[in-house]
Amino acid sequence: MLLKYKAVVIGGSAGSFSVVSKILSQINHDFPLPIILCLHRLKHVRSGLLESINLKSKLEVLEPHDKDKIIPGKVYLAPSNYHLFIEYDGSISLSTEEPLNHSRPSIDHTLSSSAYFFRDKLIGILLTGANKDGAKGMKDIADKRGFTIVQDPATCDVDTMPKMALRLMSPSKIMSPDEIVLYLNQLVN
Amino acid sequence: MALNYSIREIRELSEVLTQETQMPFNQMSQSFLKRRLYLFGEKKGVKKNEQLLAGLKDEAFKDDLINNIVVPVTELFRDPGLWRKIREYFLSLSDQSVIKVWIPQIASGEELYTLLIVAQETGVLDKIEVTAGYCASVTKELVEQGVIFSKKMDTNLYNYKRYEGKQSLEGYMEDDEGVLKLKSSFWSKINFKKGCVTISKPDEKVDLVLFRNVMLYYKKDYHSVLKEAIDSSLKPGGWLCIGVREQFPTPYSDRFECIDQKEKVFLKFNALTQ
Repeated sequence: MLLKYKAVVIGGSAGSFSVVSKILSQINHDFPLPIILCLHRLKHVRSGLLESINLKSKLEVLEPHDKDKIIPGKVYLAPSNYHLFIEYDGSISLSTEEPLNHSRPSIDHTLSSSAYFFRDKLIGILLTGANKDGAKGMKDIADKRGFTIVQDPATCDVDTMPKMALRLMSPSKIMSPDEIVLYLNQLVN
Repeated sequence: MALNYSIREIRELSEVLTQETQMPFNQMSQSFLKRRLYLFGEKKGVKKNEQLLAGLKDEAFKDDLINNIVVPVTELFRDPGLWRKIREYFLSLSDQSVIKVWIPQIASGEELYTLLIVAQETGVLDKIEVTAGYCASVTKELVEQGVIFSKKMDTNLYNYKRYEGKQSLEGYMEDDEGVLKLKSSFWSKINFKKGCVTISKPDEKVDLVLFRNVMLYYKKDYHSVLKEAIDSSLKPGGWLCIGVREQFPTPYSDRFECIDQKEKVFLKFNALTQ
């Protein structure tokens, strides 16, 4: 199957769990791209989030190890207290470097490194959240001509994060969670 | 604009840095090195490659550069479950007259301080001998001062609670003119050795190697070299701890058995060939 894109990267913070659950529970079970997920989470709580998302998801969700290869159709959740980068060879690179935007994992780090590797073959999605993390990463994706979707602030639990992104860049689309699911599923259809 | 290298430039520069510093920069992950150099440039006002290269002639600059490349440990008692496991291990070794520990690459004090507190609480502090490898003299000086960053205290306290510590964590600290430090009574039998992992090896084999979240920053191909250095320094029956999201080079089943998958603890076999 020839696809225009090679990966999807999603960032989210406060309120994003329900949106991510909706996306992953309604996405086609044969969705062919890898999904890289960076959600703000408690750094001292290692378990729980993965299990909760996996309960809802139609795709297998993994917390990767450092240097893992990315496999299409899998969902990679940034582990607690580690940044998740995409390395220059396309593998996953984890790091305990300093928090960025008070966050580890930082959405900016995941989005920007994904943009650097996948360039215009990337779909970047920024969801609801309470700080500015992710805005610069979305701009980096847009600068590399990737496709960018910002969750419609009107549908967000906390709209700071999408609004900060909208101040910095013009996304390809502003969408509600339902529209994001439809968009991803039509990529295959 | 701070230092912002292309991949090709990073590759070339990493060779120069390796020659100039004897640190394996050329074995570091390239994206990691690019990020760290960018941050160093931003912090120190180094904007051009020529500035960086000229600085390498100055020992203090070189030391500062290395200190800024290595990544500090994030907090005390990171991964409390692992420290509970080490507590059990120390208790099992309490009949030994000496318990030797190697921390191959120390970048800040948290791992060492946590180790000393665990040793104190298991009654083996007087038996502990630590070899700590460091890459930059500035790093060593900071670690020796016992400084604990107060902004991390909330996380430190939370971790200590989950570790199920015996006392209050603050009881192990003292105020030194407004700076929070580990009490000096803990400071014994720590042998600092300068050099990267393969150079900082202890003189004698050890019971425990704490090598957490260091392999993250090196290329996968280099992990086997690191494994070899650890293997040759660890006693049969000794423990190796790596970061919870790191992978030990395979096959490890020839020399090591993973005895705790969640906390990434490996036991070195009691092989007859040892």
